[in-house]
Amino acid sequence: MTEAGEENIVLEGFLCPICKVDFGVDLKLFLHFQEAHSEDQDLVKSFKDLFGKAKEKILKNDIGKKEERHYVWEPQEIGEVQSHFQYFKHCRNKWVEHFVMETNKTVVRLEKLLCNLPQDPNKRKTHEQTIVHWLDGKDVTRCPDCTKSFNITRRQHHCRLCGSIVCHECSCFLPLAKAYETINETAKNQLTSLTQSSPSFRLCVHCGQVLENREQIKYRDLKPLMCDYYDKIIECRNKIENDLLIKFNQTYNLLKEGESSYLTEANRIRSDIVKLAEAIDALSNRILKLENDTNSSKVTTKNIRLAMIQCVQSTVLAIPALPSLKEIEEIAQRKREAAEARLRNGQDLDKPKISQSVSKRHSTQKNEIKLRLEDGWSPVTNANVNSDNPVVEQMNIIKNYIKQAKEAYRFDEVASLERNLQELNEEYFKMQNDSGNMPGYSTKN
Amino acid sequence: MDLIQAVKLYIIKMTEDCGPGMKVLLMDKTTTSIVSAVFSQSEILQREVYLFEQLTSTSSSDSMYHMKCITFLRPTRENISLLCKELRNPRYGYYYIYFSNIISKTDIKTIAESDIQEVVREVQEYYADYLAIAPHLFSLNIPSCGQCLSWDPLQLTRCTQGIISVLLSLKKNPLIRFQASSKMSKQLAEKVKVIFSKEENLFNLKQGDIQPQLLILDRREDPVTPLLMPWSYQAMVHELLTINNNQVDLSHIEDIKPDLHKVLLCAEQDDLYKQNIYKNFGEIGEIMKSLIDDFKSKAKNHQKLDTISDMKAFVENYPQFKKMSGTVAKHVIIMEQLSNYVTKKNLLEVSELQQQIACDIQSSQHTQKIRELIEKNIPDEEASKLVMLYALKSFSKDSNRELTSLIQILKSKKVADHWIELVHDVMKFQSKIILDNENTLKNAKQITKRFYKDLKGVDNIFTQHVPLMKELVEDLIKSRLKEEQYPFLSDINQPTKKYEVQDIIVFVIGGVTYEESMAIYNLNTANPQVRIILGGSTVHNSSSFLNEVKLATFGVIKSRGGSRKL
Repeated sequence: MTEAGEENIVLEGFLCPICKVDFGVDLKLFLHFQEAHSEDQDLVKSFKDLFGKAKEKILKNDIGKKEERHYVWEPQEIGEVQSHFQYFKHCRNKWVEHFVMETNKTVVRLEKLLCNLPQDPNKRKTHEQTIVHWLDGKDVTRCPDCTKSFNITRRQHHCRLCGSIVCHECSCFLPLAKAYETINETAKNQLTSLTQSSPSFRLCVHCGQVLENREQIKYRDLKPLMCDYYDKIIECRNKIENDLLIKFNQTYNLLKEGESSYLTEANRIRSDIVKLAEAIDALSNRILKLENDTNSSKVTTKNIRLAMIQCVQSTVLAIPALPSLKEIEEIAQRKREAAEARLRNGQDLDKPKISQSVSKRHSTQKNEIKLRLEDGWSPVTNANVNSDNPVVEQMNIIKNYIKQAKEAYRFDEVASLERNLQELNEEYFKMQNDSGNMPGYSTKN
Repeated sequence: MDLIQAVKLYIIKMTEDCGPGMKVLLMDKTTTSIVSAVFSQSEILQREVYLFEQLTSTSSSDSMYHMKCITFLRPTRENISLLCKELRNPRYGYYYIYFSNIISKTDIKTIAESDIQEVVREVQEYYADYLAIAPHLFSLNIPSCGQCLSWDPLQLTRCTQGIISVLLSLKKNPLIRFQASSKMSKQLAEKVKVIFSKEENLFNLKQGDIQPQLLILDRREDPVTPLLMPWSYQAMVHELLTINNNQVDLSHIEDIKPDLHKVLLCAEQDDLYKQNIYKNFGEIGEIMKSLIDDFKSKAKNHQKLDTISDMKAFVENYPQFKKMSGTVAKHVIIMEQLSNYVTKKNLLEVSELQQQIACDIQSSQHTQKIRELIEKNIPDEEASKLVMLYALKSFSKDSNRELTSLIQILKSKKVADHWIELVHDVMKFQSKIILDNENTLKNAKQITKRFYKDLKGVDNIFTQHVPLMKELVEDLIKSRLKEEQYPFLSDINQPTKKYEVQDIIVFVIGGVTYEESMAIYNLNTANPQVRIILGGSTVHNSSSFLNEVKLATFGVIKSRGGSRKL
């Protein structure tokens, strides 16, 4: 911490130790000290010896503290929760019963209304009124929904299903065709002409809502195409995570033990994983390409794609490259030698030593594998187009890297590589232009 | 006792409760910030949550029946009625409803009666009703707690709910202590107590041998700390650039890249930030410099790409290089801004004097030095903050006269009127009236402290002041916190013998500062036997604090200056 102080704001010069003021010249500081802290001085002296040792201790402690220490608490468990679902269901059941009754009543009335519906508007009105009792307009002065009073401009209207009176704004219309649909009958042929002349029933919002809800429930189970794709993706993902990756790790460990017979098996699992990852990638891309009419579904598909790219990246990158047959045999060879050595030297004596050296070898082996894991894309030589220009050559190499990176699903790397390629491209064209002016210096960079 | 984990676990549980399938997260404004404080987008996408919606009166009407809806809301009246509306015309397949706090039975009934289509599959209380900023720090984002030095009833409820949810999410049923001198902290303590007895089932928690302690403090006891210039990274960024929901707005900087207009500063996701959050300005400067040098040398190497192997090495490092340089670039810009402000506002000199005033060093020269600095044309806010500090700290006989003359200087320098008003407001805000004998006692303490500091020799002169809270919590850890000043709430079984302390939750009405958060962090590190959590109605910097002071003292006529012993 003391060091921190020095690094932070370097206080230099002739400072008074008590008030931390810079006096610039030693004489001034001396005078200041005499004047301002003459009493303190004695105090300081008497304390000085006492604290001399303490000071050393404190400073040492401070240096100790400088090592990054964090408080570590035991892992947090999930906090309290309280469920209200039982009570919720209890309340809901009562209400839902009421609602179902209401719906049935409404639908039955609608059926009655539609049965033998006359074509003539006047006759139709009488027909409607015989089925549903219409409220007397004289008793109602205000619309029960918006509480605005009726007058010449805001006229009274009757709901054809419950007979109540509402204003125009608080009513909605149910087209005849839809009404037939609601009671599960297709509009009969003879009525098609009728639907044109009188298109719909007037309903109050309440009855409208009841029918609307009934309609909605019908559509609830419809699943868009996206869901099929998504289910397939999840299937692939589960297979990778719950099955293949586990198997792969097991065989991979066996390979590291020197069991070369598992190499083909491991290769097969590896390619299976890559295939499934490719499938996930393709499917999520297809979801992205789906026609989306609403904004929310656009956002959703975009996010699904994003999540799947992340998922593919993390799984594919997590699979290490397999050791070659030769390497495995080397491991096996080493193990055999170690075993023989153990047999030769008495077992008890050298056991710890050997196991140590074995584990050491293991760790070096691990390192090698790791290195290979990270060493990324290698330039493919056959792609080197014969060219004198090193820039062209480099561009070709990068193109190859991009190809490899694409195959390995490292999309962020692809992006940055492509940017890099773009830069090189520009550089190249600039050079070409320059070389037009100065032939013979084209390769100079 | 890890707040970030506590919130995270709740949200993970929510995504697990509803099983596999595409999910949408429906939130309100507050819960959105609660979730985003602990989860990054990519993290939550991996939990199959692909859509984030806010419940508002103008929500879109796009229906997606194939998605499950996780609804996470605060139990406010507005939210309940919006939720009822949503359930009458459900846009999603099934609803899993979570409230961030305790909800009344009548509200549940109202919601149940709106669920005619029976789409609700779960109704739960998950107590994540606070913003987890660090494992030991939470905020409730309340910019101002009240007026006339008393509670705004709405905010009193919010603070009670916040504390209750912190306790439930950590499963703690504490003893309540409060600051005796503050009416507001007593009221809050009592409110919390009422909930304890009302929700006995919930608070019937398994406790260890040592009961936790909840300590409720009032910012009015220590208005000095938020006025001082802090020098640790997080606190400094907040003071000079303002951190809002972990975000820093940099759009005011000229020709800044569009992707840096709003930068995220989140310790959970940004290692560089996490490592340096409590480092001081000087240290960070060093770290940044070495980082940049490192990058420069790397970049230099890359400039000469003569051989294919050079090229390959470059390309291999490139993506990582890019990513790292993105983070570094962000912090470099922030550091650049910070050091610009430090120079522009003359903050080194200002801070030094602030510290001297706050620690009563060289009291006789304060007024003279304040005058000198004001003459140097430091910004209005810094000049008036110095006068405020002087007003808060000086109690000598002629301090009133000095204060008047200092205010005169401010006026002559054409400092805006509201700053001068704030000097008076801060004095009204301060609750502590130091009596003469207490003063001498304090002085004695101060002198020992100064000696102690001088022993260390090069103690940082910009961070000498120790927040009052640190002293209080240190006392509490040693079981030495005075019961007269910080009593237990009555009718709780008071421990008669000397109580032990293990888990401590400190809540500050009127907000905490990042400096105090750092102090608590250090206390946690230094005392592994205790666990301390700090929370406040908000996290203040000096300007947001002064706003709160202004609102809090609105309508208070009596200036404390008059009650001073002259």
